[in-house]
Amino acid sequence: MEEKFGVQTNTLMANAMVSYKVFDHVEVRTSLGFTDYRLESYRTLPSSARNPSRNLTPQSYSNMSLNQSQRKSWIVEPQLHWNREWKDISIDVLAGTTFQQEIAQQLVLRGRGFPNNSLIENLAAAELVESLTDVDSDYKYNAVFGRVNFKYRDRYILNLTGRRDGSSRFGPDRQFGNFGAVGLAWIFSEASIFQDNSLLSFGKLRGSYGTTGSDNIGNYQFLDTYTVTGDDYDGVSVLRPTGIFNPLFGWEENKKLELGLELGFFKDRLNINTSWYRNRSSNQLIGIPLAATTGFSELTGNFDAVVENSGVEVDLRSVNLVSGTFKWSTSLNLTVPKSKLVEFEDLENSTFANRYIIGKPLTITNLYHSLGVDPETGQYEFEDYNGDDAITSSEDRKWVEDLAPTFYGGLGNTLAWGNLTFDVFFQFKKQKAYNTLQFNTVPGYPDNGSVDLLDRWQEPGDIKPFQIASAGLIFGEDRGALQRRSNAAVSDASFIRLRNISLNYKIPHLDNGLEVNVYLQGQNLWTLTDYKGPDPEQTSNTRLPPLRQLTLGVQVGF
Amino acid sequence: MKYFKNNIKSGLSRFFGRGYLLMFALMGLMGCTDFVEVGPPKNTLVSKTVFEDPATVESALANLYLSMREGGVVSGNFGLTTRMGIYTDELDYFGFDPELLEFHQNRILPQNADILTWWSQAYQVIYSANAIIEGLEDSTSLVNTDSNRYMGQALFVRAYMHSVLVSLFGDVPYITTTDYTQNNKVSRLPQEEVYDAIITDLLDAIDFLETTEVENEERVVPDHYVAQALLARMYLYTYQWELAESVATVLIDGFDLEDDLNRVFLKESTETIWQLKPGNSPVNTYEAAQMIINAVPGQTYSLSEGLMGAFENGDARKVAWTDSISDAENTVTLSFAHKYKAWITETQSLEYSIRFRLAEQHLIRAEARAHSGNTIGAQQDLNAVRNRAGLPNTMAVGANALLEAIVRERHVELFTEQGHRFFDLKRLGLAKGVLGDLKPNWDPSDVLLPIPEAELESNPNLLPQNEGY
Repeated sequence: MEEKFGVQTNTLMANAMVSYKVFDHVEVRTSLGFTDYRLESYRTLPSSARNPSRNLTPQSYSNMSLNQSQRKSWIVEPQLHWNREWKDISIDVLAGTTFQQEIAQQLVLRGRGFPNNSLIENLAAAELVESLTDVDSDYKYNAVFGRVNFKYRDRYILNLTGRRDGSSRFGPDRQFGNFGAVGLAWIFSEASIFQDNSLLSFGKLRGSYGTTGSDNIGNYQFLDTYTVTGDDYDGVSVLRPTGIFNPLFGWEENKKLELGLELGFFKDRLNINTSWYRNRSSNQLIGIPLAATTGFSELTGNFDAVVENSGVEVDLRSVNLVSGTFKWSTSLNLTVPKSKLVEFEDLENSTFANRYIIGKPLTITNLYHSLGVDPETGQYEFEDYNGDDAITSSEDRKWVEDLAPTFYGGLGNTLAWGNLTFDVFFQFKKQKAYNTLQFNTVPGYPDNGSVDLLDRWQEPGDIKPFQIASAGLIFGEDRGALQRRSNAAVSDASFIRLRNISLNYKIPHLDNGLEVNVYLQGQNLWTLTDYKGPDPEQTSNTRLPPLRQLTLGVQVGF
Repeated sequence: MKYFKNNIKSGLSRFFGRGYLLMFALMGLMGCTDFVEVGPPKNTLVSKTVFEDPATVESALANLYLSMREGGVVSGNFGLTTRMGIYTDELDYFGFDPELLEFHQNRILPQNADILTWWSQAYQVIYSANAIIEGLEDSTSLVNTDSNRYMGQALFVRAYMHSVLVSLFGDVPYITTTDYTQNNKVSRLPQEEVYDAIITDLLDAIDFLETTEVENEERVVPDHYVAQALLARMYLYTYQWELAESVATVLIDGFDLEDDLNRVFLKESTETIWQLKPGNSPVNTYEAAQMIINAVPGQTYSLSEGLMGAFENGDARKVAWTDSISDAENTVTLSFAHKYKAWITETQSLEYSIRFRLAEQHLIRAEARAHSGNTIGAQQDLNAVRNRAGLPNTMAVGANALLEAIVRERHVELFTEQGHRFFDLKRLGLAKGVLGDLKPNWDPSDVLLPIPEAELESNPNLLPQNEGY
């Protein structure tokens, strides 16, 4: 209780937009932004907060650390905008440039040895003041971009964009990357053959192909540097190699192809939007894992493999019934995502050899194949893939499971009757996940476990799902750790969940102009799942799953 | 269509005609290369500049010593001393830490986190040493005496870390470059070749270090003596008796045994060849914090009965270097190593973490001499250690009897110091005989630890796993 922690933050944000119409169709615009964030915190560790038997004194132990951080950023984005409309044609041209800078600083000071614990918040009273951290970082970004939008008779739309991005996170000659996209759309319901069609009220076909870039890595990674750690050895301050030096990385480029179909029926009472996309990246910026013999666990660089993410998204909205003041509408969305590793040269000899498989998603996990409990010995058995009579991680984890969802979506219904509105929203997801076996597979271990563990093997001949009781300490006889990483620990975690239900009543006609809503809301009220574990959405046993909430509320507007 | 074309034309020409100034203003900003160039942050130094100035090279070397002291296999807190003590017959373990239990039961799993830390941290230190070696090779602005001293120290550290790795894991990669493309796919080198590489590095290190004066009053940085001390140990481990004897002699001539057992582990001890200096907090050793038991129960391990019984009657080391504590009811008495005595809260700096000391060199020379037939010389070295402990001269006469006496002496002289006991039992082929009876799970293959599983997965070239795992 005597240890104190205090923090104070200040944030200043300023944004401005200046625009000036130079000529009839030409406008110059500049947006400006500035953010300043400061944090100051302190933490005191007085000797009086420690066990008295350690005989600590304010002089020998008490210390206070002070942390001062600051983050400052600004952005300037001048743009030139030209647009013109004729009878059938409209053209919109935009050109601009972005300048952005982010500076971060942190200083941590620690004072130790105070004459008295009541002086502990005064750094000047410390016997010794050390500077533990004094760091800064600078990020700069610059881009030029242009966009041309061309419309013909509001039916044919062409969109061209191009940009050149520069980032200080890359080494010399690698700072800039060029990206662009082309998009086409055809609103075919405007065509004359559909004009009189009462069924189809809106139809649009669109397609686009383009590239985008990412510099989403830390600053300075391309520099070969030594870092001041703040420690010293024999009075000599310590300089440590910052990381593995790899100057040869540049912008990550994602190629995205997208096709979409938007349809409206019955005067737009039913809308269906469908889209299909495919993203391919051949140089993702990631921390590439390294063997420890390199001295580091990972390297920042472009991941030299082709990764593909594709999917179909369907979004449906319909107004089912309108009658007087009664209205019933439904919305449904569905996403079917897919990903796969398309190409990876020399995968077998890379650090990914035991993680990825060509043609499979990156989200796969390699597991042992559990064969259940041996009725004779009471031990878990596993498939020995390479037949060497030993179960080893690198040779026998050959069972592949994908933990990414197969599909997911939501279904919502709204019923409105006068001032009364009733909303109900279901969420669904088809997926596999680690089940309760990920935490404990061995009955007898001094730990909280599932009651399922009681169904354990006890004598030869027993056919049980759980092995012989053991404190987890008998090596070779206890293969619980393997079971935890076997296919038995992964099972179906699909669910349908009543995410949200609400009833809202708007009190009508209040003379004094007040607008009053009364509502009752429930969240996460009901779940249909076969999942054997804490919660299909939060499979950890240490983190809080989504809560069930009931809210009764009044909202007043005036 | 014609209408449309004309309009576009006129629109564009008007735009370019009147807006060209604006266009130029924008063009001027395009692809502003200078803008996106930043200097290094203030807490880092570009590698090249590190090796232009002796002070910064010393800072890079300080990182090696600090890393060894603070963590990993040779550290006093998480290193060989406790874990290999528990693994062998030095320490009894009665806790429930799963990683330590695996050591205690000689059933270390390839997933053991301590093993992975030992492995990774050792190679991290080796990387840093190689970075210094490469930096020095490319540097033009250092004077030779400085450059030689740093080179010798970095080579020593590289050899030292590999010497621990090869003793624990058998065939291991010997890393001599910072090139990750090579190191990421490196294969294991047969252990004989690893020892050869260590010895070559040490000989080079000694050459470099002998040309230069190392200011080393407190013996906290490696100088040529430190490299010789490891070299003598390596010659002993590789059965090169004459070389072991001659190198140990250099140290025996250069240092004196401390007469008073209570002064052997003080920072001023005359027999210390190399010690790691503690930092500002604690100002004394992690070894003391790990070994001393202040209350029952205090630690989860204590000195084994076997070790306590190994002291001969009258061995002053039993009194000076061990102690015991009982609980209030006197039902439990735990013995603990009391070589380092300054407890972690002691504010005065009294002891540093010793890595090489002269007594080991006497025992190395005794063993080497016994093997080469110089039994009188062997007795002299053995007696030097025995007499200091208040024991009479050895009764062992023949070479074999002497060798047995030397093992016993190493047991009680070097206990709970950096895994000596394990390395001795292993290299002398005694592990099965000694540990086989004491430890129910002991297998002959337990003389090697498993290569960390994560490593085998990251780099399949390290396969196969050591036998028995």
